[in-house]
Amino acid sequence: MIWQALIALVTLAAGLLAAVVVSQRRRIRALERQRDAAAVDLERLQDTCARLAPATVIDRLITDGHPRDAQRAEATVLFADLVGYTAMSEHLEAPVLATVLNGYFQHMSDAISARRGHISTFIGDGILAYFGAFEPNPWQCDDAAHAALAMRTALLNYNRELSAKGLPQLAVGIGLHRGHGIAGWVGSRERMEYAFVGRTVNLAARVQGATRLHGTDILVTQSVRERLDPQFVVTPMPPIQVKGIRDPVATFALREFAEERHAPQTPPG
Amino acid sequence: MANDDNGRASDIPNCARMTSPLQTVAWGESLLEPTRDRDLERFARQQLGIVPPLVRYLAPRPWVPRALVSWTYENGLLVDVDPHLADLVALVVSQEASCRYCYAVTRSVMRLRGFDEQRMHQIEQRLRDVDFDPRTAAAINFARLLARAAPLPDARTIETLREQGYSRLAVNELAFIVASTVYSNRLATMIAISPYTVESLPDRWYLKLLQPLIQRLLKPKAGLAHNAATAPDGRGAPFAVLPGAFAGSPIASRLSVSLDEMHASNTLPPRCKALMFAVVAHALGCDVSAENALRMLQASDHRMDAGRVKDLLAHLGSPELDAREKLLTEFARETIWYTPRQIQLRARALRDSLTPEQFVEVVGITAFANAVCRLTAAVVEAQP
Repeated sequence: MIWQALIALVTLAAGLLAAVVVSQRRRIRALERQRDAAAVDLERLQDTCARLAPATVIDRLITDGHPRDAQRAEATVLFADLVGYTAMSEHLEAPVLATVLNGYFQHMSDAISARRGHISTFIGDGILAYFGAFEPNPWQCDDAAHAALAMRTALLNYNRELSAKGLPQLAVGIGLHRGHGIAGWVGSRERMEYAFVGRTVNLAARVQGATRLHGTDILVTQSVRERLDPQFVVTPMPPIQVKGIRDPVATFALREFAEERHAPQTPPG
Repeated sequence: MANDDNGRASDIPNCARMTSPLQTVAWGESLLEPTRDRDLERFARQQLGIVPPLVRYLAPRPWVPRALVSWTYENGLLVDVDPHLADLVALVVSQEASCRYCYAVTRSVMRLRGFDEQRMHQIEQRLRDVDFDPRTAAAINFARLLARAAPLPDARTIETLREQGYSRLAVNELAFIVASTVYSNRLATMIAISPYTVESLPDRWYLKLLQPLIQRLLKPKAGLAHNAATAPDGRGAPFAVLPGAFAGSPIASRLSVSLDEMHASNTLPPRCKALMFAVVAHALGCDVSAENALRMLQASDHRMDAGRVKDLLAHLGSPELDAREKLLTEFARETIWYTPRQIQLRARALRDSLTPEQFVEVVGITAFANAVCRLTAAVVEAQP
């Protein structure tokens, strides 16, 4: 009788243990499914957030729970603007114009992001992007110049697409300037953005405006020129007078990156 | 029912409460498979009592996981820094690097050592609000600055720590905890080792049952100061200045062995390794590290004078670099500031163009360079 009771107890205990194990495994599987689904949602959310601020900034905002203080930084600012946009906008239907513009922004964004640039904002048909504003980047001028050349190539390809559809071709003016400013969250309680603020941004915009004056598509200032890889081919252009700056600003037209100009030496090892 | 941070009853189930701030960081699929290396596992067991999962993933280049094991600060390396402060520093650094895996490891170890979930939430809240006494806050601020390296902490930061009563050795130990965490953060993030199991580990019922035993196993060992002091020597092998700065501490010999093993590793040409170091040192802006990286370069290629290296580092597209050097220097620069998703995508692309040994070597060298250059900046360059 005692043995039977003992066996029954042991069986019951084993059954209970098995039930606990099965239940735990089910719970773990359910949690894993939830985790995978959450990971997909999260990635989507982060992709969306990355359009508003650099991914590192978003990551830190999430982990810190509050925005960090603004800080002084030295950055290279890229300002791009469509040439002849106003005339084009008068001839195209609004939905077609929006499609053309969105395609343009996408091509330009890809070229800038691939060179570690961060697009701050689209101002009408203009693009404002920074290099090295949110984390130190000793190679920021090279990155920005490569991005500008990549934008030129991307626009060439996009124009072929537009031409095939019977749409007008686009032209762009790009200005690059390096200087100091303040990087951080700016805006009102209702609307904030992570931005780089200062005279450097205004000067890049002015230099962009001078591309029309000089009949070129990419202009860089002396502060960019002196830090550029010598393989970039630049041509000095007449200095421009900028409102608020006493001396004329020296500018250089960026032609190409001449990779083949120097013969590579024998690789070691 | 569980109590929330304010002591109020909350009906959040425990399974939903096993969260940490880093569980929102997007993380990719692991880039490597674990492999077995008996000697390596024996070494890890001798040192730590267990084989950390990361060790098996990095086994193709044993010096990389050996450094990871040797630099485990809980293993009798700290003389002047309290173990709880060390854990806080490791949490902060993993948070800065958004390393889900290392954050989860530190968090889980703290939980298994006896911190319940509510206490962990309180600690994390205080970390967010920097709500600590001035002495702890100074250490955490220093750890953040050194991990972030944008810019690196300077002599004033070190002076603030000294004013809060930290000895020279304690400051160096804090820097070492940051460096060892920076190293493990980069290793774990670049190979995207899965954090999911570790994140839920402390809530496993069997670990709760075994907690008293685990607490004893995971109890940090106190370090013993050595009497023999070695004068800092800047003229030895590159970065030999580091062990010199830890004279009298058990950390000195660990650093020395890891540096020797890294220098001796021949999976990549010495010039290639030196270039990756030089890129990290240049981007971080640490002059002493840059000088040591220059010496590494000169030892590998006698044509490399200071002017030539300066030109080479000023523009990474130099025609002096061969295709592999260009690829690896570009990758090295990506390991300094990154998001896990970005670096994992770049590491995946790199892995597909290298052998497993070369890939682990590159991951190891870049992680090591990030740790060593930050440590050099703190314990040599920034010393008042």
